[in-house]
Amino acid sequence: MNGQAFGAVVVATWRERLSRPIALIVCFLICAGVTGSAVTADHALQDPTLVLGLILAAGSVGRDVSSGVLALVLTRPLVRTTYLLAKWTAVSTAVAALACATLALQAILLRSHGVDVSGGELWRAAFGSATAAAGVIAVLVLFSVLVSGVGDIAIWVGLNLIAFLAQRFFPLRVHTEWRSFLQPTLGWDATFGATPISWFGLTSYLSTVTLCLCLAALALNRKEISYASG
Amino acid sequence: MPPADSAEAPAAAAPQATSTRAPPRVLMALAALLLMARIATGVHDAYSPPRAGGLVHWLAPGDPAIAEQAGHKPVLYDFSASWCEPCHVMDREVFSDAESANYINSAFVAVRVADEDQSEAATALRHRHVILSLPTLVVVPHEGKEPRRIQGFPGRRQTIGFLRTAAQAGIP
Amino acid sequence: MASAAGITVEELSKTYRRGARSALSGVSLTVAEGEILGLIGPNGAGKTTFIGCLLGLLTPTAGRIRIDGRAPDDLEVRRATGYLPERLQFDRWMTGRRFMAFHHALAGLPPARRAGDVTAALERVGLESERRDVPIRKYSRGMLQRLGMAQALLGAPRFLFLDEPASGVDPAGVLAFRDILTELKGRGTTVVLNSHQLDQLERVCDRVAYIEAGTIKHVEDLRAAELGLRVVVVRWIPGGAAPDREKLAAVAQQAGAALVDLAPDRGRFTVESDEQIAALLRGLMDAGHAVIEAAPEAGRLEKFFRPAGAKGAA
Repeated sequence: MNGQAFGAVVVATWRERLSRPIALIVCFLICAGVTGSAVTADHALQDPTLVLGLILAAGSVGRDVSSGVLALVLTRPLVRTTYLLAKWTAVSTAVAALACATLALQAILLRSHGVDVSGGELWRAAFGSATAAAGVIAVLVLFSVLVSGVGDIAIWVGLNLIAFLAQRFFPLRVHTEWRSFLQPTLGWDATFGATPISWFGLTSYLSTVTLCLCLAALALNRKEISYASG
Repeated sequence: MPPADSAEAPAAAAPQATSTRAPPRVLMALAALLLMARIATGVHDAYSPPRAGGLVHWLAPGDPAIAEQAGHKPVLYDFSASWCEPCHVMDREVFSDAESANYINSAFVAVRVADEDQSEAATALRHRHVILSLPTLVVVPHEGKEPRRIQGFPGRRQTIGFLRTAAQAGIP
Repeated sequence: MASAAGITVEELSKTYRRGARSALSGVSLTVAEGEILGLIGPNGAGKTTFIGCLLGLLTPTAGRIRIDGRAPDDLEVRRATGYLPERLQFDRWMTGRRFMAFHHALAGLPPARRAGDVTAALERVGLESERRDVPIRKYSRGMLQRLGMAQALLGAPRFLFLDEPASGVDPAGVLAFRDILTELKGRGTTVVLNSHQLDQLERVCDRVAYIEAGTIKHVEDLRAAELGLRVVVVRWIPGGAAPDREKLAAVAQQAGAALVDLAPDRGRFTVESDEQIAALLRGLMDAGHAVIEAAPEAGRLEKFFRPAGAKGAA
């Protein structure tokens, strides 16, 4: 893997994703809202990872395709899979960082309100946030390779809606697996918090993430990237 | 730059290791291995011993004792399944712990709604509380107050915290 | 057989929508190393599709492309390639300098040289220094074009693909680009140049391929001009009888020129010097032709776009 190109795409994606004023304002409002709710109503840590992920990951690859930026990038000596993994890394780390910062702020405020939040609990919540970010971003990146623009969010929301509406017709296990594919998570307590380790939970999560990234890479390899008009 | 071998199919050359479209071999191998591991662990869990339910005195949906006791205590519904891994962990961490189990037995009317239970009463409960994932704990206070719920297993402390808060809210 | 060091295209076809739309059909072409090839044709002819296939962005339906003996999407080919796209869709939130640094990194060029290479490339295309640290979304069309050319030149590519390079550029920029192409030619860079600006193509290209409906209809060789030969078109008032071709050829030969084409009211002659032009005109007038105009031939490529039988530059 071309480390220099990987790093360049990661840094450029961070700058691009975090330089959009409207997205930043919405993220700030969400983090503030979730923190407020955590401190005043729930009295427990509340994880904003999913919503932050949907906002910051929207069109991570699809917008580059529809804008024509990707056509120029892919004429460089850059393996397409490297580009894809760099996008996934950049967006999931950005989402995880914002979410963990929000959780840390919640912990500080909860303690000041007399709610005991241990360092271990904060660490476990951060672990869950990081793995949730990596998981949902892998799914969204796959959708983003398949459709241009921000159609990836539309697909994700649509599939969740179908799952919700069709729950009466499918066994709950199918419904649960479907939703766990759309939103792969790896809670520390649920997986490692007791003996024996939940190997199924661990392998399910890792399998979903690697499968999404693998399918995305294969789809991107086959994708025609051009604005041929003549 | 030396020219490469020229023996090719009529269409564009198949991707090589030095191509921009090089197949993601490492990723493919990882995905295949993890998928097999997922299937293997899933099959293993399917043949694991059935869940014990811990030390909590669970009632089944439709049991007349629920209605009798619900006038004095909030009802705790545990929506779970034998195939649900976090449900097993919750069993071990919360329902099999003596202190937690004693608290639950004293503060709630505990009802376990297993996914395998397809009785009318169980199905009606799942629909009424819109169960979308497992495990889900729903506390229904008496006197028509809003039910409280928690989805997934967030850890022993948070689960006990939820139960205590829900039990307090249920007190008139 | 052309050297493997250039670009070889054999029976290239590209269809879309499961064969419902054919963009390219049986295109075969060889571009020698160091040659500048122009592409012209009407809108929708397949030029951008052709360039897309050469860049490895599109997969041909049939046929084969070799650049320096390798497939277009080979990483070694990508390292030796520069591309200026027709639609300048750059990361609009980046500044010009940061955009160049990004592409310098993508090209795998040494980080130690980044600042120097970026500044040198921007200087070369004439992008004003005060605009280099301004976000690209504030650039004019001409500035975008200069930036696009600058990133295409990063790493001194051996193969350059330019899609409408002078579009929207002011005359100073056009001259700068022409100088760049002349310099690249001197270095032996192979250039494929798609443009609607026929006069610019005539000035810089060795050959020009005319593409229409996905096939190459004709390849015009413009290299005669480089050998010092010029084509002069001489017009006269047509007489009653058609001009005698043999007689005119003899007149031209006497002046050191050569007759290429003849029409009732004009002739095309190749000459090597101004003295030959003067001698030719004297000879034609002495032969009884009422010469009214003599001019260097321009618009050789215009003939592809004129309706058949229309009058215009020969």
